[in-house]
Amino acid sequence: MAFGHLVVLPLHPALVHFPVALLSLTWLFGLVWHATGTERWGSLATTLEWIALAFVPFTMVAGVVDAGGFDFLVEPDWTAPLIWHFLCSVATAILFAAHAFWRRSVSAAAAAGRGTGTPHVWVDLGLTATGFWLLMVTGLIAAEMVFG
Amino acid sequence: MRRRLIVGAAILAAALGATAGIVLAAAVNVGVGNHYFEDATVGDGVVTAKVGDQLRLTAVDTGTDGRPHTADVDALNIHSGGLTPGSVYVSPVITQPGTFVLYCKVHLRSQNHQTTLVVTGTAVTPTPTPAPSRATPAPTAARTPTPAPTAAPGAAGSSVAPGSVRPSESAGAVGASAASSSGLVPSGPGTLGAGASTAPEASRGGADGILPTGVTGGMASDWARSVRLGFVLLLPILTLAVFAARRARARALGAAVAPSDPRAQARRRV
Repeated sequence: MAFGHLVVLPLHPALVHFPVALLSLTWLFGLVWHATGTERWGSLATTLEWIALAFVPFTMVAGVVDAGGFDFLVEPDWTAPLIWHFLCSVATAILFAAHAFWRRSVSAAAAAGRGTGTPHVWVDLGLTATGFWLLMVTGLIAAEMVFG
Repeated sequence: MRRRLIVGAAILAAALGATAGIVLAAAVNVGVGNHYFEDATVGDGVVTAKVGDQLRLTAVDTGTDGRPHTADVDALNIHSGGLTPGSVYVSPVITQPGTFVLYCKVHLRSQNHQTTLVVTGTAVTPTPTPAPSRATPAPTAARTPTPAPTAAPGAAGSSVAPGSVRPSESAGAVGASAASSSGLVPSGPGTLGAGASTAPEASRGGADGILPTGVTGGMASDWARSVRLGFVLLLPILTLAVFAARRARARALGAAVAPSDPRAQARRRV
């Protein structure tokens, strides 16, 4: 299904910077939190992560609109960067979403009297570091499409 | 009398030469679609032509993003501009043999829209050729995915000679007949030249910031290098994560720090 070029200017590049910046800060503040032990960084990272995840659906819809529909998924050209940009971005969103929900479950468990509320550091940093790395790869592939 | 014979022979020779030129300059029909360039031999991934040929490129559809395709071969100075569905572009006469990259400027980087153009023969001195015809819209856009294999390059009715078509009607009359014979667009009156125009989005590939102008023919957007660079980034990211994790672990185990370590004790006091 092709949408055609619905809008004059591409929307995706205009929206994508917000979740990219927020997710990058999520990773960075998570590092600072674990390195310093200051809880405030952790709560700030969590807040930014949820805001970023709220942006993600809009960004993805804008990307599909800019790509002219789902044709690039129906008949993917695996030698072209578009499909890989899409897959990496989806993987990034899934990782950060999983991280956010996992953090929330840990906090909920602590509120119910189970656990300390502090997430396991390796799981926490592993998820955000992997997500941040995928975010970088996604951006590099996008740069390849634009600047080649 | 003898002089008349000589002049007559010269005129005859010139006419034969011109006719030979017309015959030699064959047109190779090429369909342009998502995201391929196909000549009569469909599926081989190569467009073949001979020196002296012209490429007659017919757009089958618009890109999936709604932007028209282009056909470009930098080394041969072939630049079609935007090709809306059904429109035809006749290239300049090819004057040099070799292997070139035929690509769509708009969808090269995102969809890797390119193929190999193989030109056989020996190089010829460039002669005045008709100006590249502009893309001309066909009456209706047929979405036939591939050109009919019966449209043999150089077939009767598809040859174009330098100077044999006027720019104002080349893309219409010639293009329409070629497209019709190749099955790319339905037959129609050969009067499509009127109002020949390039698609308004012709320059969008370079004008809207999606792609920079002047895409070089190096091709194959080497997107894999971004993945390689990504792996380079993996090292500092993991290093920082490990550093933070170790700090957190050390803090959690702070009570177990050896009392004889003055630096650790100082950190604890802080």
